[in-house]
Amino acid sequence: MWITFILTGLVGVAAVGYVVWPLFRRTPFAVSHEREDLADLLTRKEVALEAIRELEFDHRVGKIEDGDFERFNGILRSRAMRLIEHIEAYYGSGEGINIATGQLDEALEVEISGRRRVEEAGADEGGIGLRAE
Amino acid sequence: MIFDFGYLTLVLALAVCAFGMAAGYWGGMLETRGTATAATVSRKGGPSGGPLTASLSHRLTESSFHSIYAVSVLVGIAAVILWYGLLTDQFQISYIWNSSERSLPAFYKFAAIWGGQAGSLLFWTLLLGLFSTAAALTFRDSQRTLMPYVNGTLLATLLFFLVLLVFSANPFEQIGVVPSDGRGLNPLLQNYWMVIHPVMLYLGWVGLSVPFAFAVAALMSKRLDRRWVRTVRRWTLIPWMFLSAGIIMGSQWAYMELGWGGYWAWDPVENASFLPWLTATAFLHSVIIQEQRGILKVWNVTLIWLTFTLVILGTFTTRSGILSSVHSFAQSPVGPYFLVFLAVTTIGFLLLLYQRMPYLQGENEIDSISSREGAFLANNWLFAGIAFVVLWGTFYPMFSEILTGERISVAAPWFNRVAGPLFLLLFVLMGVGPLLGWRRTGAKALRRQFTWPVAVALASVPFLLITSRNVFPVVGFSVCIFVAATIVQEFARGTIARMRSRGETAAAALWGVMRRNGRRYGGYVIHFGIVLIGVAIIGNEFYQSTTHVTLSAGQSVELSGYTLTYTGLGSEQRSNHTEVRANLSVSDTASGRFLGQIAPRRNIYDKTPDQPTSEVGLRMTPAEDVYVILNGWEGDGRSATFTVYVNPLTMWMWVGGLLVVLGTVVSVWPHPRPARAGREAASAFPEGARAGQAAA
Repeated sequence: MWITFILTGLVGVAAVGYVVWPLFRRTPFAVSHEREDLADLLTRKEVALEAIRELEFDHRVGKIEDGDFERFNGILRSRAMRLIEHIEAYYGSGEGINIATGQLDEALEVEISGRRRVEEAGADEGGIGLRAE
Repeated sequence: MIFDFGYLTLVLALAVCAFGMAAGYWGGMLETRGTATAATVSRKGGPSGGPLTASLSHRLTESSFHSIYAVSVLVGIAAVILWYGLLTDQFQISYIWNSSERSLPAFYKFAAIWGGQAGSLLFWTLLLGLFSTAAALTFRDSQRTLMPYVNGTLLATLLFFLVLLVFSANPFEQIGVVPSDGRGLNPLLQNYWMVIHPVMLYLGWVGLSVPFAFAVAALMSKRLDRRWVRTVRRWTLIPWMFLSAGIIMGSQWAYMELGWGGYWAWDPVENASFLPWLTATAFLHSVIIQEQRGILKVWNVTLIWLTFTLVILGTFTTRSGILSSVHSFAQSPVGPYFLVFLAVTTIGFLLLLYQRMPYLQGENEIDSISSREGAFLANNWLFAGIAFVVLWGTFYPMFSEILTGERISVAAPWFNRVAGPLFLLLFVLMGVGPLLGWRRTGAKALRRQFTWPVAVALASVPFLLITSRNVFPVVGFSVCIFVAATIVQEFARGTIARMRSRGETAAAALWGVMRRNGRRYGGYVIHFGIVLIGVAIIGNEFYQSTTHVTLSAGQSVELSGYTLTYTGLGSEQRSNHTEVRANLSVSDTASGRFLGQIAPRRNIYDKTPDQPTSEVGLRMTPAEDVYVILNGWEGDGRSATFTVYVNPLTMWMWVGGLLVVLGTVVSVWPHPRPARAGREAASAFPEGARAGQAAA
């Protein structure tokens, strides 16, 4: 019986010590609300770009008519551009992107063509193209 | 001694769990408050954040992570000790005495941990600990605002099961004497499907706690954007796959072991596993709408809460014995604990949901009903409707007994009559949905998409009418053909579009579309599996033939073109039972060609000779199964009584189940992602988003 209690005591001390140990450590880490907001924005941008790709695919296989495609593509692209602009303005390098000079369009095209390149590589090379990139 | 230690590790795990849960929630609340304050201060231009609060919150969160790991290890130690006891016949432990015996094969001794109540609760807790550890390790850095609450919620669920194990269903309870042998495992559980089927179900049920924990975390932290739904999608699909596999394996077990000619009887415990499957399936469809369009936020958190509640309710019905069925072999006083836990989670969740309603406003509206989101929404209503019907039918006998004192049972025909038409509509939507694009599909596109699948389905009707004059199977089969045609068309169109745009061969293009659009095409594979399951159900429901016959040695019976000749009875002694086997030869009635032997059995267990189990004799082909049950015999087997079934198309149910698993693997398989633009890749910030995407 004593062995049981001793063994339990040892395991208990180890478990409790392991659990409370972080409470006595001094760590300066804190969750940055900026980091979280940026992660949210990047997710939204990713969703918007994915939606553009889905729309293009649906159009290609005949599920979306030309008129609807033009309209929805415009809406999705402007949403993606707004997000890219927002991300660049608040979290970018500071150089900024000027909507008037068409840099925003370029940035969006870079993002979309990046996804198309992966799609092309996916057919026969798997992720090799992605890793090389 | 070792078993006392096993129990004390559970007590220790309980204490650590309670502390970790409090640390997780407290840390999360401090973090949420800190973030809100920082945001306000930042807007006003002052210095941001409170370092002391942030540091405390971080330390508490870290402690909750450590608690999850520690609880998993402690529960793991307890489980290993119980396994040791089972494998070494420690019958002084009440659970082992009740669930095992010396002559039980080691295979079943190992499986006996989930063969009774206390052991299965310990096994459940172990799996939940492992799932919680996996989630904690995966999202530790990427979901910093959600993880404290996720940890808190997972630890709260673990705490509930540990309370059960410590106070109500102690698997290490000792008898006081050492019996020479155990009472043996329930004979019905001594079947290879019963070894794997509960594990699959538990993996499914337990795994669904993780998306629920994320939903609670999103509500508590007020971060109800699209990130949490992208994060949990894969973590819902994988448990959903296990649950689907568990349900199919359970059907296989019922088909082979229970010996009543079918695989699904709408038994309350079967329904208990099916209910969360229905709501989880609805959730898997509706999260896609939230992700794509930013709508149905309230519905999604409600669905995942319902799924979690139905999982707990399912365990409650299985374990409390409140609804009598073949599965309710373990009745014990755990019922009140489950009821309290269900009440607390329900009230807590609904209050939280009510408080967070302002954060759950939709970002868009549905543009058109002829869109994929429109079809998904209708599919969600149907899933919810079927879940309500099944829930009502399952619990009606209990309510009738409480209210009137008379138990009115609801049998399979009622479920088939009420849920059947809803399933048919669901199948129609399963065909319609993939043909529609997001947002709006115009009339011209609708014509283009629907022409071939509808034509193929209509063309099949005259052929189907030859097989049956009954309208229901004809409609059912033609709907299945329509859905299958839409899936084939989807694969063909995607492949052709890629061949044209990239000049690839058909095989390369097919591989390309599946690899690049794994989620979409994996979904189609799952749909095709469901179609096959539907085909098997219709075949069995409407074309099954049966006869009940007593045959003397050498006598034959004819059924649906088969002649079965009884050739005699034999018996064989196994480690803990005697197998009595009837031999029948099967031949084609028309040509007289010999097709094979069938040997239905009765297993008479040494410990429970009054409960012989049935092992059916089966000849399985893609067209139909010849399925024979040995009901009894006279003398040394001069004559024997059989029930013979010819079950058309049943094999497709198991093939369909395999396709469901395969399709899920295709869906969750990571597909290539574009490299990030240099600045994003270099930034320390986007970690969270990256993991969110990876998890999606």
